[in-house]
Parts: sequence; structure tokens; C-alpha cells
Amino acid sequence: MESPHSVNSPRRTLSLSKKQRATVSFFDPDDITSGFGLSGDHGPKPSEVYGFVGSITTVVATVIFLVWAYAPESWLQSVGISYYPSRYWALAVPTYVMVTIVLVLGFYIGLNFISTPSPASLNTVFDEFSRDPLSLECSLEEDEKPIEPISDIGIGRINDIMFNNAT
Amino acid sequence: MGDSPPQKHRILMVSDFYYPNFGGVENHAYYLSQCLLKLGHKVVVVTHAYGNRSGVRYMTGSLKVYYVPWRPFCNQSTFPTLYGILPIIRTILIRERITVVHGHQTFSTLCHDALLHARIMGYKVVFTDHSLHGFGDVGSIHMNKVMQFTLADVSQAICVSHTSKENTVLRSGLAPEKVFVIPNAVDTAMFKPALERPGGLEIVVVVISRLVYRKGADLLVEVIPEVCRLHPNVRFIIGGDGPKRVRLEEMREKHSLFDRVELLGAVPHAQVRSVLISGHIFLTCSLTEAFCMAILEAASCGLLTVSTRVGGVPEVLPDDMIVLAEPDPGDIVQAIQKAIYMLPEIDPQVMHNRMRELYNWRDVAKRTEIVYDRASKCPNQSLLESLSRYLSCGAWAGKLFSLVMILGFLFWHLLELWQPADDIEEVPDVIFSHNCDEEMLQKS
Repeated sequence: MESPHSVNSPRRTLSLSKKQRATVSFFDPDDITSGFGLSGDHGPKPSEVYGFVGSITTVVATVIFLVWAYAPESWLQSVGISYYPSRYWALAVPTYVMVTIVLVLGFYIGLNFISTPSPASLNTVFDEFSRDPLSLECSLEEDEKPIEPISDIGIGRINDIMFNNAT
Repeated sequence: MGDSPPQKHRILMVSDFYYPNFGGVENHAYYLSQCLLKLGHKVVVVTHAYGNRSGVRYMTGSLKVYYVPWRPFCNQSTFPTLYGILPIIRTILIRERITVVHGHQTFSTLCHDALLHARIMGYKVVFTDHSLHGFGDVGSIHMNKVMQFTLADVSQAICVSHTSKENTVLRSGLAPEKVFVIPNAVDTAMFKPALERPGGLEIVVVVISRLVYRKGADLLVEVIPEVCRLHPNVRFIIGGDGPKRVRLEEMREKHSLFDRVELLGAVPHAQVRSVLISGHIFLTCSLTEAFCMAILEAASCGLLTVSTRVGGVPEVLPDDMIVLAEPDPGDIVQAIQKAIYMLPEIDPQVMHNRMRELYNWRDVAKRTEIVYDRASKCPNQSLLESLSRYLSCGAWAGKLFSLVMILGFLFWHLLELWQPADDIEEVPDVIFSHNCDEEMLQKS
């Protein structure tokens, strides 16, 4: 079994059960002028109301749409609903949306193929962000040595190491 | 049972955020990769193309980076296509003989897609979350649902602070025992205090962050005039750029603080240290932080930190190295005053030495190695076992998620028929020894 690993943490006595629950607050930009104080004591938060109303609205809209799309005309007539948009759109709009999504995906993937550089392109091995390795300071101890800054290794050197077994 | 010999992992790191982009996620992925390479593992990074930077690059320490030609769509994230990335991810996984896929950052579409497909193909998957997200706004609600989907079958997850772990567990429904807390670290050898602290009666407060709403630039606009009024010997240096910079310029004009507030603009990461060591106090006013890397860098340079008490910030430093305040201008002003009174007792070199012990990238790499070992020991699961987990994500969403997984499974088998795994050539390893360093030294 694994031996217990020491946790290198500045707060070793941290306990999740005892810790006060952190409040993650996100301020609305419009509330900047009214100060940054939390207003948890004044009724429900607007986001809760919006969520509640949004959820109910979604359910009601879904029911209305399904009734409009599937209920026979005679049922609607008997209830007293005599005017409603043409049922053609109940089929057309979802189909338009789905076809648009598929075409957007196809267009995006095609765009990616267009932006792929050719195998002979110089951009596959070099570009404006390429950096040469800096000279290293071997005098520092291993633990003291900083992690090398980001840099590119040339393709010629990589080929030598990979295929010619050069060290 | 006996302890098995340490296993060498072959890790694929996936994120939309990587060099030449700069930020916390980019630094984290790079430094972690370098330390894992030094431990003997193989690391490959997959990200999308950045302008002309497309194709395969070898970087420091033989870190291989695939810049997949996939256009960024919004804030450096690619467009979600669900299955568009599967063929190329599959090819990379087979070519490099990957054993663990490590995704970074919630808002990385490439990361979510890759985790999804890696799970379909039976690879072990680890996810690192770098940010806190809310529960109330529309964007967060949708993002939490996506996270619930992609993390439903993840092997292990990593968060950068305990607050971040709590946030991630609540958002994604992940089992808490699957989530490890591994903080960010700082390259203490790069961030050293100045040999001599800037002397004189002047006290310099340094701010380095993007000037956006989330980083509390509006708080800064109200804090700086008040501190300058109360303490005539205080000066501010502000590094960073962003949409809120105009407000800071207006604040300077309004209160005639041109000689006491210096705006540097964007500061390259290589020059951050030279800005930090010119100050005594580091100030950050973020409204939300999972973990604040800038605080580590400042503390490593010997600066006393003043920060808002948000997210994971209280976990970062001991109490004698940081002064915390509520995200309120008056409270921040008081915290800065308290920091000014604490300043004579601060020894930058002592603070730096403590930071070197507390936050070290090699320590982070060792902990991440433990997570990889745990992920490797997770039992393999068939598609049917995974589907039951996806179904529990919700009444309608669960079925939708299961459908997506089934279609992905079929697509994968279609690719297996079209291009069998045996036909894909494996890449020879690049062995970088220490002799190369000396050879490079001779060449330069």
C-alpha cells in the first residue's frame, strides 16, 4: 500500500468540516455605484427569481409548442382556439435550425482544413513566435537552477537525435 | 503488498491555452510539463494553432507540442464540434503511445472534447480545474452542465485550492474522493528578491494584473486616491493592460496623481520580476480567484501582499505574509495601512526562502505523479458501465449525454475500420540527456 505522503501546505491544520463555507459572490456591473456590500438579507436574489421564472417559462413554452404541433385541429377548435400560426412552421423551424447547425459545423471543419499549412510550408517548423534556446548556467545547483524559459528546439537537431542516435 | 517500482507515464496535456498565449493556465501547463520531463515521464501537449504557429514543435526539454490546425472561436477557445477533433486526437494518442490524458481548464473546448474521446477509447483521464465559476448566471449554468458531462467518467481531478475543489465538486457532481488539491507553484529561482530593498522613506505598492472587471480594477480606482491622500509617501506602480485602463487614467487626471501613480501597460512575464522588486507591497483586488499565482510570485520576491479575501486566496499564504481585506474599497485601504505598519518587520530574503519550501514546481510534479499513479490503478470500464454514470446526470440531459457517447463510440469504431491502429506509425522517442545541455552551451 502507499505510504502516507506529507502535505506541504502553509495551513496544515486546515479542516474542511470546520472551515467556514466560502461565499462566492459575483457582482453585477450595474451594482457598482451602489457599493460592494452583500445584500443577502433583502429578499430573494434576482438570479433565483430569473431561474425560477425561466424554468416555468420553458416548460410552458414547450407544452404550448407540442400542443400546437401535434394536437388535431378539431381538438383545438372544440377548446375555442381558432387562430394559430401555420403548422408548417412547427416542422420548418426545427429543421432550419438543425440544418444550420450541421452546415455551421461542416463550414467550421472546412475552414480548419483551409487553414492547415501544407507539408512543405515553412510555418510547420518556424514562425514569428519561435525562440532560440538561451545559454544555460551550469554553475547553479540542480535545485537552484530555474526552469528553462520556453524556447524551440530546431528541427535539424531533433532529426539528429531521433534518427541518427546523436546525443 | 510490496511497493511497485515507479511507473513512467506518457502524458498528453490538452488545453486551448498554451504558448504563445500567456496566462496562469499556460504557465502551469508549461512548468508542470518541464518538471514531469525531469522526473522521467514523457509529456506531449496538444493545443490549437496560433496564427502561423501550426504543426508540431519541439520545445525546451524535448517537450513536444502539437499545434492542431483548429481555429479559435471565442477567447482562444475552439468551436465545440463534439466529434470533429476525434480523428486527430486518436492519431496522436496512438502515435505517442499515451497512457494518461490530462486536460486543463474548464473553458477549454479542446480539453473537454479530448477528455470525452479519450474516455471512449479507454484511456485514463485526469482533469485540472484552474478557475472558480458561479452557479447563477446563464454562462455558468451551461458550463456546469458541460462539466458534469465531461467529468462524469473522469479518472481523477485536480484543483488548485480547497475552495476550488469545493466549487468543482458542487458544479460537476464529481465524487470528492476523486479530487486532489495540488496548488500552483512559482519558479522561486526566477523570482528572487533584490539584493537591496528599495530604500528611502518612499513606499511603493505594485499592482500587476489584467485591468478587467474580474480583477477588481474598479476597486483600484477608488482605493488609490484614498491611500495617496492618507500617506503622502506612498507611490503606485501598475502593470498590465485591459479595458479598465481608461478608468485608471481618468482617476490619475482627476486627482492629479501623475507623479505618484505609474501605469506601465502590458508587462511581459520575463520582466515581471524587475517590476516586483521595485516595490515593497503587492496589491491585488480580484473579485474571484481559485488560486492567485501573482501572489506567489510577489511573495517569492519578498513583497508583503495585500489581497481581497475571495475564493482560494486565504489558503495561499500564511497570515504573516499577507493582509486580507473584504472586496470593499474602505477595507482595502485599511489593509494597505496595516501592511505599511507591518513593513519594517518584513525581511525579503526570509520570505523568499519560505516560499521556496512551500511552493515548488518539483513538488507539484511529484504530487501530480501520485495522481497519475492513482488514475492508472483505476479499473477499466466498458461503455455500458460508463453509460449508467452519464444517465444519472439528469432526466433529459442524461439520455442526451448517453446518446452522444454511443455515437462517439460508433464513430471511433468506424475510424478503426477505416484506419486501423496497427497501421498508424509510432513516433520514436527523443532522448534528451544532460550532454545536450553542454553541447548547446558550446554552440552558443
